[in-house]
Amino acid sequence: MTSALRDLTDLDRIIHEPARLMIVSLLYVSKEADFVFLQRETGLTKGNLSSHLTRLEAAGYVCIEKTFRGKVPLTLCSLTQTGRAEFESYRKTVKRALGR
Amino acid sequence: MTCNDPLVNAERTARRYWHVDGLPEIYAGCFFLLAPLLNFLWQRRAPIAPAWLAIGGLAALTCGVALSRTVLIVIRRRLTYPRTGYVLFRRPRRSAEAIGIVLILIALLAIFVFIALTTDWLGGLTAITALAVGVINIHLGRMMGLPRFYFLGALSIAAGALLGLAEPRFVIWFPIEGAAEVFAYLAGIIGAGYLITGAITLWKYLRENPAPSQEHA
Repeated sequence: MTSALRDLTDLDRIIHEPARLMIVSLLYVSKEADFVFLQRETGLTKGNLSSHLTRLEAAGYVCIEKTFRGKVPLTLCSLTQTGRAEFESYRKTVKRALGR
Repeated sequence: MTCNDPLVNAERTARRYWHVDGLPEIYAGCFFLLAPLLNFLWQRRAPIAPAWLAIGGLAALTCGVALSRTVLIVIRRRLTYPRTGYVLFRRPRRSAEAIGIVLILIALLAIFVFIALTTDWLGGLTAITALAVGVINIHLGRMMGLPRFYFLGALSIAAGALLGLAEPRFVIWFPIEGAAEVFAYLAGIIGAGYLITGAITLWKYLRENPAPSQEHA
């Protein structure tokens, strides 16, 4: 087994989970996005998306800002510097191991 | 259009979202239609001097381009964001940005070379301008994976070929005299294309995404 493949065992498990990987990928290419956009693009339920965002926020990867648009609650999410760096590292490891 | 790299697809998704409601096309279409409107006013001998019409048109175009993002965001706060959410995308990747700049430079260079090399430059200039608009539309369609931009690109190129390459004397079903008319027809066709695709997209968008209840955004 090559060392590149062995590196897969060190993958960040928080990012590696498919639903969270979708969320982080979407946030990586955007500056910020709201809850409705993320829910629409990922196809997750409100509860599911909310729990994954909480997990990412607890890890320090995502910044969540709760505000209002008029009288409607608005949840804005963005990737932190740590989240961005961790995702880039995750991507490099997967690319190296899978040869893409 | 999908790609094997999920990140490229995610980037396309975020970028495509800017055009999800067709509003940018409607907005751009209105400005393209400004040219035939000004030409019409000029032809009808409106009580405004041609120079003022040209200055007014240029000022409207400049303000329109400068304010486009602000105007669209203000409309979307009421129309789009409550329905399908809000995303602010990052600047394009350098490679994508570089391809866009190179394409624009090639188009400009082609126009200047054409003017320098030919005496009958009017027809060719129209065709090349249309070609440049067409290529930019096709590039946008490829970058975002939006097929309707291929249609807009093809429409622009076809309009350029019709107006520019066809000898005006063969085009007997409407008279074309002079550069202003040719460009006005071209801008009118492109603008109508933008308006139609934008209106259809907006209609489909509003039908597929009804206004939400006031619970969470």
